Amino acid sequence: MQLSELLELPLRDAAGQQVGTVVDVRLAIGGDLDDRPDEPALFGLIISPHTQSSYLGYERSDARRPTLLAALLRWRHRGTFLTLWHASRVSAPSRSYCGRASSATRRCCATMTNAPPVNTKIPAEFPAKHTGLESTVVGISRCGSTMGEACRTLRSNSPQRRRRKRHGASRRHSRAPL
Amino acid sequence: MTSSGNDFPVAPRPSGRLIDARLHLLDRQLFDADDAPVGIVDDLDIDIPMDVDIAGSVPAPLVTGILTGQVLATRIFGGRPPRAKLQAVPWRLITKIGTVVQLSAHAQDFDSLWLEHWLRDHIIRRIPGGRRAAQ
Repeated sequence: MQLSELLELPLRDAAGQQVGTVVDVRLAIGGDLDDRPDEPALFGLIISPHTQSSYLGYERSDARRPTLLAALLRWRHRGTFLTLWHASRVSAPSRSYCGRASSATRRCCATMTNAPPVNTKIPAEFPAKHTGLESTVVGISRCGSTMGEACRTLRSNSPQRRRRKRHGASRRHSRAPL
Repeated sequence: MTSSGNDFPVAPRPSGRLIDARLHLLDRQLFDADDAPVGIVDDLDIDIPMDVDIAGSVPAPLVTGILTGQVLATRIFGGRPPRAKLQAVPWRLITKIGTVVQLSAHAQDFDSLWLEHWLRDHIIRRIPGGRRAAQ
């Protein structure tokens, strides 16, 4: 699978509502970057609820300059979160949402745990009291695909989803699944 | 700037460095063993298992290589170049990641440079003075 097949994929929650788009893929590289680094492992997906463009790295740090650009990017990427691909501390998925796609849509999907997402900011060190509340991808499947098309739909919970549940809203997404 | 001031828990810190593929790898220039530019990072090959449950003990997918090739048309008109038009560079050939990506291979090993090689051999070398490198 190519990276370009993952980028800009819509992310859907358990109800099939679109909650964001994959704007970047975070990798963990072992070894020395200057001396034959190890093969990177996929650490997680960065999801933006409002845009498909890159965050330009601003989400990784506390940088606030230039102020105008920082404010614009913060507004465009409000609600951006990281969903972990795999974390050994994560409990078993509480729910499996990867429904069998119809042969008509040939939709592909991924399943994720129902745990909340995590902050995209890179921590200075491993938190001592980490609770393991990550949202993780637990599966990708090529549902009914016979044309070699790549995964088109990811599913996870998201801040939007939780916010909707909290306020009791039942807004339907307007974009049809690919 | 934080990510919109959300109250999400902090992600665990894995071993090694964390980089974002789109931010730190895509479009970086590729240099061969002789420091000659041989292309850019157009895409990555990721060994993502399909149709399996990756929860629990299954290790995270690995990036097995980078892809480079002729992507000018798709950059202008959109879409994605077919896989056959991209040349895979195994990750073991990467010696350094920085502002450029350094490879241990040599330029003549890259099929993606066939157009430049053809122009060099059939046009540039027929121009007076075109058979020697500029000093």
